Amino acid sequence: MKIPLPLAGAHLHKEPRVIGIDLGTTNSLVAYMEKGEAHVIRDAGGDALVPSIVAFPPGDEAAPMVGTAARQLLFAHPERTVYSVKRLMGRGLDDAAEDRTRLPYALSDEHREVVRIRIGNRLFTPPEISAFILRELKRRAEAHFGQEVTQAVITVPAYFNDSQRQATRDAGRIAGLEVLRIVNEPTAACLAYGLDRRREGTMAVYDLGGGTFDISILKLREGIFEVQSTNGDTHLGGDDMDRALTEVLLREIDPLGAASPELLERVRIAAEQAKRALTDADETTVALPLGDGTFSRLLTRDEFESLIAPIVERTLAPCREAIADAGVSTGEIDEVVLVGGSTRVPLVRRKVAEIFGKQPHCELNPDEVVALGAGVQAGILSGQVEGLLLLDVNPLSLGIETYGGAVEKLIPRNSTIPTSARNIFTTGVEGQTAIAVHVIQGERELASDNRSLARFTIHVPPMPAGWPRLEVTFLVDENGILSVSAFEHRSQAEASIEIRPSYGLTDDEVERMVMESFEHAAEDLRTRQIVEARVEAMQVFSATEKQLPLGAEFVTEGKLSEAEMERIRTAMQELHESSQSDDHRLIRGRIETLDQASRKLAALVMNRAVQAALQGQSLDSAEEAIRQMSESASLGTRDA
Amino acid sequence: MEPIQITDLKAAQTARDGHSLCWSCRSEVGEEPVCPSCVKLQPLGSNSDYFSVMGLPRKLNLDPQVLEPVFHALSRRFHPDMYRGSSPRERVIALDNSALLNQAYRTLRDPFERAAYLLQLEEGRATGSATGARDAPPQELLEEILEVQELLGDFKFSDEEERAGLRDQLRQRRDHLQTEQDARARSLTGDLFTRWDMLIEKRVVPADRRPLLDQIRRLLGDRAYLRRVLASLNEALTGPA
Repeated sequence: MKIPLPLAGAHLHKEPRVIGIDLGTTNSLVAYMEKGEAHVIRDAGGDALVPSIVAFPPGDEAAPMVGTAARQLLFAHPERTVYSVKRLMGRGLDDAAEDRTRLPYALSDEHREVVRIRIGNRLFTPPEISAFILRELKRRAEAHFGQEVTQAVITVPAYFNDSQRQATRDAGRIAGLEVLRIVNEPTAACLAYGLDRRREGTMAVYDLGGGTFDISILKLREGIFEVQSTNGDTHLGGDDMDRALTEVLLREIDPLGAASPELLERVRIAAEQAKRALTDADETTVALPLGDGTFSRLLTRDEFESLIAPIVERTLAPCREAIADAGVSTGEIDEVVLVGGSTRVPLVRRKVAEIFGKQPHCELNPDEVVALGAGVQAGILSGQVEGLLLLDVNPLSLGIETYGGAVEKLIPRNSTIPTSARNIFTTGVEGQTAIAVHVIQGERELASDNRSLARFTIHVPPMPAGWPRLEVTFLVDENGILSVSAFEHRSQAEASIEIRPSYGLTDDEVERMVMESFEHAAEDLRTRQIVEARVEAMQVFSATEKQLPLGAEFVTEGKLSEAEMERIRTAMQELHESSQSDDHRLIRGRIETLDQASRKLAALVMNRAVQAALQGQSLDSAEEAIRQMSESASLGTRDA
Repeated sequence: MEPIQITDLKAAQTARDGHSLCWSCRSEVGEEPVCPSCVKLQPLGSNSDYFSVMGLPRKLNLDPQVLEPVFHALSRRFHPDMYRGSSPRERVIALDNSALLNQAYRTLRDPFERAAYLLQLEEGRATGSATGARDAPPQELLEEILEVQELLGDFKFSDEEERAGLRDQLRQRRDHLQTEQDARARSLTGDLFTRWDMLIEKRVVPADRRPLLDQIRRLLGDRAYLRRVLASLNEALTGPA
């Protein structure tokens, strides 16, 4: 069994740990600071990425699976497997219309302001789905440290609006995490790079992820990371490339458009794999087994690049605006940093070099750099890192609706946060007791063209028209989240405010979800244990199955007795019979029995592989054997 | 019910008295940002003007190279990240102070915003110059501006063939007005800024500062007006035909 080792001195002072989380569209990661360096937390297999996928096995009582385990359900139950939920965070049904047609899972028609994902008879808000992912990361960190973790820094795309930030914070709360800080992803990346090199100067961060694009310009000086400007597109990323390629493939595979959701999903995954292959190769073959044969198609990098060129081109305008807003020329930008998996695409790299006139940096793994930066910020907040300070900006202008639907800007975009603005209001009618304020976010002239954030109703005592002097303060905190307070000067009293978020959950709703998540926790844990035991049983079974032919050879050679082989077969049979049981202890017990019974066989397989490797014979098959060995070995000793 | 707004900002700068006793230990703190006896952060107070927040005299010539290190040092003192483990009260103070500091820096680092803010401060009200909503066109350029507006009207309602000729005329006007605009900016940030700073150094009484403030206000108003004219010219020249 794998037991998390206590850290040196951990028993002396169990300081609360603050973790940094990159909650991505496609993958999520968790990182932390230790001895002046940021580290991502990996699983036993060395994987840091947790696929941002939440799957609900059939049956309304079943607990969700997260990450790689959830991905296995994608084919069998696409309608119960939620991916790319980040695209739905803080959005209403109308915003989600475009995404909705492409997602295999259903959204409820009845909930317009905060979308609800329908899984069987259950409904989930995007923050609740994200909370499942956060809980998995929290669990990972707790196993790593051997102590409870309750505080986190979570990153969001710099161009996320207030509703999307609120939704992210709500997700943290539902997952049992106090979100100490929401940090913009490109800023976090810059922090990771800046910490690494103690750099000074002006840096551009080009962040193209699965679903979002961000560009930020920062100035680094004596430990202060001052964001000058930020821009982006919350609906632009690698998913769009996959989709463009999927559409091309589908037209050829399924010209009548009758593909099942399962086939759609397989084509999408094949497209994504082809995209990855073309990062290094000039051409790749897409091969898909279909019912009556195999679909096979050669794809060149040239063809792929002409397909995605319009998508990459869309990053140009935000870059230009960000450079202009920062008040610098392209030549004054000292370094360009690449972030996000989609910046591996060669065309993207060429485009970046063209826009900024210099070769971009990519020394840090683009998948991990944001999480590392979140880890650094977690270190700053927990006091582990001294001397560094992040000064971030609000990405979009904040204003209020005035007469005739016009906008009065209160806080311009790219203002350093925290920041605030004050405005004085009065009444127009005798004895009026309520003043309505509609707060919006965006750059357009008309309120209706911008994002509605919230409607505030502020209560004032009855007075003659025009008499109240209501001072309203709009405060954007260091997370980019707005709060509003009001003071009535005639009565010298704080005015009470009712808030109706346009696209968010109310505090009461979040509170209810937090409670529900506690109620479901025990039940969820039990179901998860069963599901995990079943998955492991399946993996151990098939790993052993692969070794059986070699076992027969060993028997012929007299290295293994027929009785020993029989024990293995019996253990396999028993494991198979128990694998649909609801008793996870029974399944675990039988996994253990099979592990014991097959130990000698496993050792023999390993020996043979090593010998083959030493003799230089059939290196490929030796490596394959070693790989299988280590797979089943690690499976057999996984922690429960 | 629609809100009615008042643009009188003096009302907003209301009587919430600046501190003199520490909110935590009640000892004398004067204008210190941090209590000398209990080391708790003190609120800047909503009446602090941007110059005093940054510890600067009310002068208009301000070197960005000087301003930035001051801003960074004060950010380290006030930013909420520095008070994560502190009491809720102190964290609220840090948030408010930090917000005020950031507004001060944003306003003071831009020479025109700085001048507009100074006017507002000296006169205790919003002048309109900063937004330019009520500005009149510069008198000496009135004729030219009227012609430009006529040209822009023609341009809007003409076909592509006529536009080619109009574009040349528009370009000429744009270049001339841009030169006028640049000259005004130089006069404001050069001559007028220096004269103002001398008044402050000589401690001239507010009544005698008025003529210079009037000149600054006029130039800021001209600038805002010309900026809008130039924006529509540039839009016509570069925008979709």
